[in-house]
Amino acid sequence: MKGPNAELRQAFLKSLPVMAGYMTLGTGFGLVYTSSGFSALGAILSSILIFAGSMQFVSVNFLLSGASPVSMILMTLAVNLRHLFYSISMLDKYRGAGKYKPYLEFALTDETFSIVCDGAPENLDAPKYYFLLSLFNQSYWIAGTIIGATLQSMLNISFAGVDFSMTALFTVTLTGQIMNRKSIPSSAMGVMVTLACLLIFGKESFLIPSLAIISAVLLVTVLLEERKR
Amino acid sequence: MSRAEIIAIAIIAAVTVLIRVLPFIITDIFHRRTDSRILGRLSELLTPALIGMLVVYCLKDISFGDNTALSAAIALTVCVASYIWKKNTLLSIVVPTLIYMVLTRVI
Repeated sequence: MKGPNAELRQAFLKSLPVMAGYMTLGTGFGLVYTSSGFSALGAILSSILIFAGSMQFVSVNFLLSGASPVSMILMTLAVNLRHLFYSISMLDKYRGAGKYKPYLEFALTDETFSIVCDGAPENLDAPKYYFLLSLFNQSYWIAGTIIGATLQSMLNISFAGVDFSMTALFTVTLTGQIMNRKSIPSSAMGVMVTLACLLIFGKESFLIPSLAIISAVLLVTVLLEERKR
Repeated sequence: MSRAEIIAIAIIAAVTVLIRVLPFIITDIFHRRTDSRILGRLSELLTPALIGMLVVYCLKDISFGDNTALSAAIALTVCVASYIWKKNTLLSIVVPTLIYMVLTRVI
């Protein structure tokens, strides 16, 4: 039943569940970025070149507060570390993907990862299918960003408060983690350490100490677990 | 597009790309798999902790007692309650954001 565009059709069908999420969050990002006084071009380039939602939202706060390059690097490393493991999990699936491989490696987001994990439907050119799937997903994200940036420039109304979408995004994720009991200790530790650092160091400079303490505590936890094995 | 925007996008994009391609590069060059159990477990614990950190980070500019704090408290309650009820990520982001935008204008 393999037609000429079987990969295209399957990739599109599998990408559909991602479409609503990426278009909406992309629109949110486009709105937040441009309504904070930054350029539409910057928002779109961010979605093309970074393509990692959490850090794109955080970048707006970084730009507003004039954060240093060092804190940008550390924050990106920490927030996106999980992508290292998405890539490790895909070493076999993406091996021999040839010309598609560089883009497949670049575009491996949480959502794309979860779909690719299921493998490719039978009788398809798997690398081509993964490639089109990744491309569809990123195109939704970019389209959303363009819609957001356009809304902001076309409609002469204030979108003040739309940045709450970032707070809501992380709050929803945190709620999901707490409902999945296993991650309650780390989630709670993250919240408490950050609150303590906010009180001690103030809101201009609590981020790096928070990152450092959280990483140190977890590293010690993991090493202790290893010793018990 | 300002210089600051270019620098921020370049730095974040470069670090993100590096993280994403590193395992493939190491495998291609050294024919060794970068499969570290310690690093894997660290990442597993780090993600929930950092989401907790990011929630606090997002709320850092809210000062208790003003109208924004009340709007944020209501919107956050709706956010958490609606997610527990419906488990629909998108709904629990869009609705509280709209509520927050309306409340900060009317309160």
